[in-house]
Amino acid sequence: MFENFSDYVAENYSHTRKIVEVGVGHRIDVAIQVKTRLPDAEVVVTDNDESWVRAHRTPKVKAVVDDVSNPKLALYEGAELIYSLHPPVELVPSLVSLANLVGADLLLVPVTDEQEVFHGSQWRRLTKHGRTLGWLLRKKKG
Amino acid sequence: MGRPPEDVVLWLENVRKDDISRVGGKCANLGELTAKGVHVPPGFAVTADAFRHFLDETKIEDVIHKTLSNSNGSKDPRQYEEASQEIRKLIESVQMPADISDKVREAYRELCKRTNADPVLVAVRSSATGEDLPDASFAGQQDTYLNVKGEDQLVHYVQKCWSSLYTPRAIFYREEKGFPHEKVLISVGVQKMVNSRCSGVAFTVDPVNGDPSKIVIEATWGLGEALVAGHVNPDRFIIDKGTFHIVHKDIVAKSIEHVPNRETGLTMQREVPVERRSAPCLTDDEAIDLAKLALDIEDHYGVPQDIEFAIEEGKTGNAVYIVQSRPETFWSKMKVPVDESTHHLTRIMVVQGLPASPGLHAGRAKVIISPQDAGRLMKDKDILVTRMTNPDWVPYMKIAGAIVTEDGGTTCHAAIVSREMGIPCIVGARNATHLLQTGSEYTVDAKTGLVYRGLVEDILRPATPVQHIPTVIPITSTKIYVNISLPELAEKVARETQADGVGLLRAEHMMLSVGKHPRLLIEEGGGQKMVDAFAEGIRRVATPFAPKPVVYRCLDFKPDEFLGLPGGEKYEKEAGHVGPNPLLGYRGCFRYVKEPDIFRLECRAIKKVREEFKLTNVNVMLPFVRTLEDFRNAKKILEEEGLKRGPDFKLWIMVEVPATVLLIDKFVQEGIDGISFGTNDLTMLILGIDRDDASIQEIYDERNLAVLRAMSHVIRVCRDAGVTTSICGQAPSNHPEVVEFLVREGAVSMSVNPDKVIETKQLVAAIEQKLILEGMRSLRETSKDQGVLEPRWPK
Repeated sequence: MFENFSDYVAENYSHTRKIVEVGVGHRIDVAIQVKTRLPDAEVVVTDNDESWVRAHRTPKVKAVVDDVSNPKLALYEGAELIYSLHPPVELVPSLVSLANLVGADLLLVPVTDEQEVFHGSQWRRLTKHGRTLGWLLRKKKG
Repeated sequence: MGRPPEDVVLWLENVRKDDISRVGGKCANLGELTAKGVHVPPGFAVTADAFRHFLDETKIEDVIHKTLSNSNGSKDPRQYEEASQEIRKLIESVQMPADISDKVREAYRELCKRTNADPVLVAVRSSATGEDLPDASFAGQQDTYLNVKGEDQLVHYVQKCWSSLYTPRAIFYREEKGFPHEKVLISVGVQKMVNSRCSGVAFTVDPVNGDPSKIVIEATWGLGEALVAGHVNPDRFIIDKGTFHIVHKDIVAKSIEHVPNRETGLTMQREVPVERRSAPCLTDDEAIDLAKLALDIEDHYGVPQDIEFAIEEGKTGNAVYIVQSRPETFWSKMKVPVDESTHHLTRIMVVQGLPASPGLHAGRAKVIISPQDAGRLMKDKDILVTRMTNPDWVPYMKIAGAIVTEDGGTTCHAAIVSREMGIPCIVGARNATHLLQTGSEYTVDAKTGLVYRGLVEDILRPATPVQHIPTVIPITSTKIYVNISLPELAEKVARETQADGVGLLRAEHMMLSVGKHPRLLIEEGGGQKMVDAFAEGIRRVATPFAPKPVVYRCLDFKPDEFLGLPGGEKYEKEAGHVGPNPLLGYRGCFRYVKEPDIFRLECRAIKKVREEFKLTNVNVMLPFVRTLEDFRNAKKILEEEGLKRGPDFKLWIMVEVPATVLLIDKFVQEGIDGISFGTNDLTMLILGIDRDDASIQEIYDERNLAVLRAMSHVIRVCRDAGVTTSICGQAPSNHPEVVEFLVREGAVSMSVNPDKVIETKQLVAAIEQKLILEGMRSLRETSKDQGVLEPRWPK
């Protein structure tokens, strides 16, 4: 389902040293796809639900418990991309704040019902074949 | 011919941790552990000096470096592949000098003697001298070969390990790091194979949360390969370092295992016999012994370790072998402080149940099963944790600071007595007597039914107004509701926004939390799981907002959004539900009629919240209603499930489809209590703009007159019929002028995202004041008919 997404990440972040997926939930496959495409990048996934995180323990991707609304910043240090798939809209301000603090790009794929939240000047709509792929917030320069 | 190195092989017992340059990090560690008396499979290291001698004697080094220099700086992975293939072929094809191979053979024969096995099966592992570099990702890039048998095979695989110093990844990595290839050498560890009954990894810091007070052991049947490669879900034991008590245990079905293949000498994957699949692969005693050993190793090195182990079943009993120990790098790098005070700023929830008597309390837990023990253990203000109370418990309940019971509902003994006594109480907290530990500190939040680890300061601190909330939030005639997607945050949102209710409680994130397609859940007999999870999610929202209304919108995933869930491919794609435009496809009310069994699960969850949790402020909204017939059928199902419109149960529909706008009078006649505009879809459908198609977004605008006229018409018809009107789309959040339009038109409420509630309240208050002023002025003028259909756009 997210093949286009992992293609985008692999093509645009090929020299990235660290990528973090926030709110991994029930699916680890996208993070594994990203890691497979970028074997030299450290790929970390987080969720505040410990049971999901334990279920996702895999040698390829580091899975850790963290609450994005009260994040352990050290987990994200050095990340050049933070992404989240279907983040609940309430968490978007926390994600933006985290990406700003760390100095990372933020790439979100909301459920379609929450897409209009991103109709703002700061977000860039990413598309593939004319369809919406996600919403990107570039890290602040300087 | 050059002189052979002094030490072609070194026995592990003669190796120490400082010998990395001679035997690599892996072998140096194993030697250190052997010397410490830890049970490590016996063996030896073929030293890095031997490899150096091999390069010198065979004179292939120049060819290697020339090949490498051709690929140096290339960004094309194919060049690394080609260089790697060429170099590896070269290393494996030249003859190993006899002064090395003789020593290797000799050591192998000695190992056969020491292990009383001839030929002994051995594991041959690379141990690069660069593995001690600060960046841990350098490790593990070289090869390992298992079940190697006989001298000839051993010599062959030692050479293969040497060549694995030049895998494409290793070459690329060294070049990326600017690390000279010629500076990195390789040693090879040769150890007796352990015939593992089971194997696994012990982590001396919890790998998922960095908790240094726990040891986590993950284990599976057979060799460790299946676990290390991530092919199996392991059994998991979490053991407290202080008491060596198992605080958590997960025994899962382990369907495959890796075992030695006696015929080929390699390993093979096979199915675990049914009788062993769900059995624990470690006994509790074994897990505790392993934890003690792991802690011992951590103490020896002074830093947390990831320790690989294997358990061999022998004639004289089980033997535990440590096959590798590495410093833990992830959490150590984070420098997570050991929390000595147990004061937490973050909230780590341990258990949850039903809030039975409101209040907050922090203190030490006492897990007590019988009143007799309570007399001995309970101290003033302790948190009493038990299964259920009865009148014998009352003396101890009186001195408790809070009460948590595993069983019971809001009318059980514990609930009634604690309310009378004014003691915070949570009932129905499943597994509380296992998950909470006597003597540990917790924060009981009986307003929300949650128990947190430690003393959580932001809960205990007296509530202070959040910085961005103005001292006075205006009261408005138009109700300002909030949209909620994540139940976990509802309590905070209710507290901080002071919204007048929830105008849109989305179900989609609850479905994602369940983590399976609902059809798959039903097929697996797990429908009740969905009912319980949804009921719990709705409860978490309805509780902090009660008695204010909460409007639950039934599940409205588009078919493609279901694809991400296990079962999604089968029940959406293969079932033919994923059409060319999912936004116009198999969704909304139509789905409830087509698949009523799934819809009924949602109905049951709502009923459970209303009846079991007594949260009658929960109402229902049907999304994407296209036809009267669909609405009628869905309403019938709701009624069959006991959700019938009445004074305290309201049924809303979303107005998103032009047909609903045009037939709103018919829907009113059919029986609705409220409508809410979904402006995202309504704009899409009125303007004919696919809102997921980037190429036409520039004309997507919720303020288009056609959209406004549609809303105006619906509001007027509903107002005349006494049907409440609201909006939960993004329009009021993105465009303040839409807020004014809705207030002028007489919308009863609007629902916005949490970060927009206060702003919208302030805006609405100002607009309402303006309207009052305008009304007063107009009294002095002759009133004019403003027309029936023309919406009143802000002046």
